Amino acid sequence: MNDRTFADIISDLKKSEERLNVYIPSLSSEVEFKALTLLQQKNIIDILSNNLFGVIEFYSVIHNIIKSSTTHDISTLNTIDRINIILAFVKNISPVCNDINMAELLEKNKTITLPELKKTITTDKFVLEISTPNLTTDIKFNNYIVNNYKNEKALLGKLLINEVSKFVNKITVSDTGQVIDLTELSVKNAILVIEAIDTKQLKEVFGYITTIRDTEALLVKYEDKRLEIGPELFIM
Amino acid sequence: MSYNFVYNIDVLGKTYQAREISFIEYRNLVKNISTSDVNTISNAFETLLDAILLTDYKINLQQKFLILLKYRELILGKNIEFVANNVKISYSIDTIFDFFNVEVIPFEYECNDNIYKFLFPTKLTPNTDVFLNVVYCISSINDYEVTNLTKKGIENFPALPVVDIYKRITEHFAAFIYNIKHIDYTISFFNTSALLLLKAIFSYSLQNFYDIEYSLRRCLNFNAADFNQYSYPECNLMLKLYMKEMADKENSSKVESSV
Repeated sequence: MNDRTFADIISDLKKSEERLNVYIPSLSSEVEFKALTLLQQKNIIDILSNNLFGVIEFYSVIHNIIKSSTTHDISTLNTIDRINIILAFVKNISPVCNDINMAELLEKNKTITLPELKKTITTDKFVLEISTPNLTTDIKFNNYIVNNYKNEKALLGKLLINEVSKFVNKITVSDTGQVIDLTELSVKNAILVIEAIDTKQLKEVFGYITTIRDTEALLVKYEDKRLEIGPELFIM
Repeated sequence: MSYNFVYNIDVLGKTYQAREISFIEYRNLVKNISTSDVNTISNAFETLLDAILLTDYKINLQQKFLILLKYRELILGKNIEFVANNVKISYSIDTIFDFFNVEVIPFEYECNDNIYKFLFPTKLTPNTDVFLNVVYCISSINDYEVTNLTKKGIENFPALPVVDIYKRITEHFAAFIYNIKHIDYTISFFNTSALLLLKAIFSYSLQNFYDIEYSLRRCLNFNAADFNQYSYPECNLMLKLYMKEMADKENSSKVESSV
């Protein structure tokens, strides 16, 4: 195999490189992505692990792949859209996954009605402006978790605060009118702000997060079968 | 200019030129494979192949295995001995060689309009990573011949259902296994059995090496350069000739003194 031949192979493979038009639920339109490469697939599978960080690392790798696979501004894509993108990547490798016809699953996902992607919640003390986190926000908080809590044992509480912090954009204190824009703060400070709020005030935020996660779960469900989103999905 | 002799080894209808290894090189090989670590054994044989093959052949496990079988014949002869049920059995390498020295039909797989063909892996031992196992089995893509692909080399290849492909490759070649009935040992190119057979048939007593080296240094003034130039069979032969000469001299002096 000389260099020229190898270059020919790559060029030939690129010619046939699949472009995926993925339906993006939040935009109600399709966005073009490059199909996964063998190395990207390998990188996903390499992070296979059973701990909590496995999921976070999986989404970090997926984030990098999505970013490098499209010219679309990924800050306009959210975590619900990410599920559909992952499913489209999987479909391109194997049309059937865990007995689910991936084309039919993706087609069904076009019919799902999304909940409100932005919401304002008024409690007795605050006005909270929340939204489904976009991919840029999501990766920012995930990276913070990985970089700061990798060796922590009591992780669940931190993950919960981190999760809430991703969703809350702005807090207005009803009594004083003071506005705290969390999107302008560092992740560390945003988490500190959320930590200082009484859990009772965040009850509706938790409800909203559950609604969004339930919607994400709907995207991976087909009839009585469902897929688990994670590196395992790419082992086929 | 090298003074090492060059052999022509015919494998799968192609002739490979391989130089003869010296006494020291063979002794080092035996030392390197005296371990249970399959990666070390594999590296030792890969190093041997790199050292003896005179051209940069891109070959897979089938070709490597066959070349090494023939190469073993050149060093220690074609018979291998087993002990089964307390009986010593002599077995010819040719039997194994002839079984595996046949062209096989590659496993073909089409994915996203690319046609991949898979043969036996290029590495002597399987990887724990199924990805790399599949990559090492790719023999051609869209009729371009590819061998010795690396992790770096696959960066731009489209993703593949590797687990399914690997399962189907092993099923495709499932019949291409050989069983040495006397010891119930099955050789396959998808596990370490071929490598471990090579280890067994290339292994040799290190004590014998040191005996030969000591005797040749002491009696025939061999030095390091000689051991780097002569092969193991040559050194062995020279020692035998010397011992025969000494025995003849002793016999003739006994005859003279009795007269």
